[in-house]
Amino acid sequence: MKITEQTIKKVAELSRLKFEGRQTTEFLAQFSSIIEFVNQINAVDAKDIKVTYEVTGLKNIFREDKIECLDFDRGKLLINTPILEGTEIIVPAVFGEKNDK
Amino acid sequence: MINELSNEIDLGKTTPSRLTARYLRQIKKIDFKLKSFLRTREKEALAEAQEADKRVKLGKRMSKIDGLPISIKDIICLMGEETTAASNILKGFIPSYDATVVKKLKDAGAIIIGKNNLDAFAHGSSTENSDFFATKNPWDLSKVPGGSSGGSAAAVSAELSVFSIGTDTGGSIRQPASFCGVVGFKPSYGRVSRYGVIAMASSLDVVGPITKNVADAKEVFNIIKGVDKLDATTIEKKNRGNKKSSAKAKVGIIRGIEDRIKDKSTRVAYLGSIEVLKRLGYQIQDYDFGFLDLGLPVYYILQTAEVSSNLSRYDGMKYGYSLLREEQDLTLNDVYFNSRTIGFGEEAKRRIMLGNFVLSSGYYDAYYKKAMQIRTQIIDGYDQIFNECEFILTPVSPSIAFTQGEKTSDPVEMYLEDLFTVVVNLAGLPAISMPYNVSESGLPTAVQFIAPYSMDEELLDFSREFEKKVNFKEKPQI
Repeated sequence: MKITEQTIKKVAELSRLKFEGRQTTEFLAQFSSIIEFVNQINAVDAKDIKVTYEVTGLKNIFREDKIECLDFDRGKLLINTPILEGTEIIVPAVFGEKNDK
Repeated sequence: MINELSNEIDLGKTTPSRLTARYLRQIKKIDFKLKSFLRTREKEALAEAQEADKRVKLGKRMSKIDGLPISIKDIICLMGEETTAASNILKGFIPSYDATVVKKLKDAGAIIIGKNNLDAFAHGSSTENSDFFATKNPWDLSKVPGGSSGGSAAAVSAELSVFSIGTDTGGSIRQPASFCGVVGFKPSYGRVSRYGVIAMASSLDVVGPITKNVADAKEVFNIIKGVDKLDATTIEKKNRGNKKSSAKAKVGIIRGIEDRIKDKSTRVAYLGSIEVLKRLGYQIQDYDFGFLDLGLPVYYILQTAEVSSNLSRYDGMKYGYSLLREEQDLTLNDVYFNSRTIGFGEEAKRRIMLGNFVLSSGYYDAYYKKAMQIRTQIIDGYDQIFNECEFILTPVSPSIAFTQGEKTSDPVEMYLEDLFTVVVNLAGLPAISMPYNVSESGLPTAVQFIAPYSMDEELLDFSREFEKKVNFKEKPQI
């Protein structure tokens, strides 16, 4: 399978990243060589093998629906936030004209 | 090192304050050459050391590491103090809590004297990918210290901290430890809490110590290990059900692994270690393992898939670099695209892109799902070997420390550094990088030991035996 500029554009859109002009061509070359490298797995027959997501064998961990172990200071939590109004985080609107692109 | 310094404190030959001041002085004297620290905590550390002095006087030291100056990789959250993962996007980020591992170290009385440099977000094998500056190898300043925990390994090697805490997703504790002539221990997945550690690839990440010797690794591991309510992936020690033979243990080696070694020094260390083990009375047995070359592509699919997911939280809204700090009249997409494009470095972008590619519809089955299936085969492959032997010996990396800049232009070349280490993370096994000798070129060599899942303590005891026989005592001259 060949990686094209179109592939890069599509994946960049999914990744919320921008590549422009020469950057795209440079990136395309590197990306293609990495894909070629990982394509080694094509040679393996793994049909009907179960998948491994994690290695501990742990299943869902349940607890009472009570807040535990948390004594965060709200002010300290919010000092890293770009825009605040009081103790609210301000973000651009999700819906509306401005996001119609 | 820990035992010796702890005894000196108990005997009144030194105090936590004097020790901390001495290490801070060394950092001032040497670290402008090495650049192993991103930040030091001079004032805070000295104040904490004075508290430790009081505990000594009262005979109330909390542990052997009480009052010892240590450091941590800057991917681990320290409450109220900048934590960046050496990335521009987290520059200025102040955590509102301590990582569990930090809390345990503080509760044991350790004095954190600073945060060590790393490849940004732990993406890299040379610490050249830090968004701030590259760290140098204390044995030869023209060489890399390895990575991603390169700042930690360089600092411990140059005795700028008694030990450091690193993280290992595909070799990031073991490979830098091997390049710097120190011990790097990657515990089994789940034995040490990751709460408060900036996530790279969540099914692979582990936290572990970089130390001067095995006794120290064991001491630190005993302090930081254990189930944590705040990390639901932590487990108690358990046995996967591998057989335990009564005779002297057998050590496995992997057929064909020698062909992947790239230099003479690494070959000497590997073959020499086989002889050391034989002299210790171990039987050496070779095994087939079909995943020597496949581990790396499988790792680069799974790791990048998880990286792309973990790094999606950097959206410019809640914390981290944001275009919103500069302009406010922006759309949601303006904030997402620009904050991420400006904030992330090249390697993070590559991994996000590759991860989203292998997860995207049309490619998911061929890459992500298939890689998870091969991961199962890899685990089975190890299980088969461990049915017959207790430990496996391999090289840590294909070569000893390489020259700065040598591999930065070719990502795949850099990824190949981790050929022998990533496959261990895929199976979640404990592994350790053990110094062997100093090569003709003046750089340290090392080998890796791997144990069955959860056999961390057994691996450390075995490594101690090897360490005694090898008796590596050399130090870098800076």
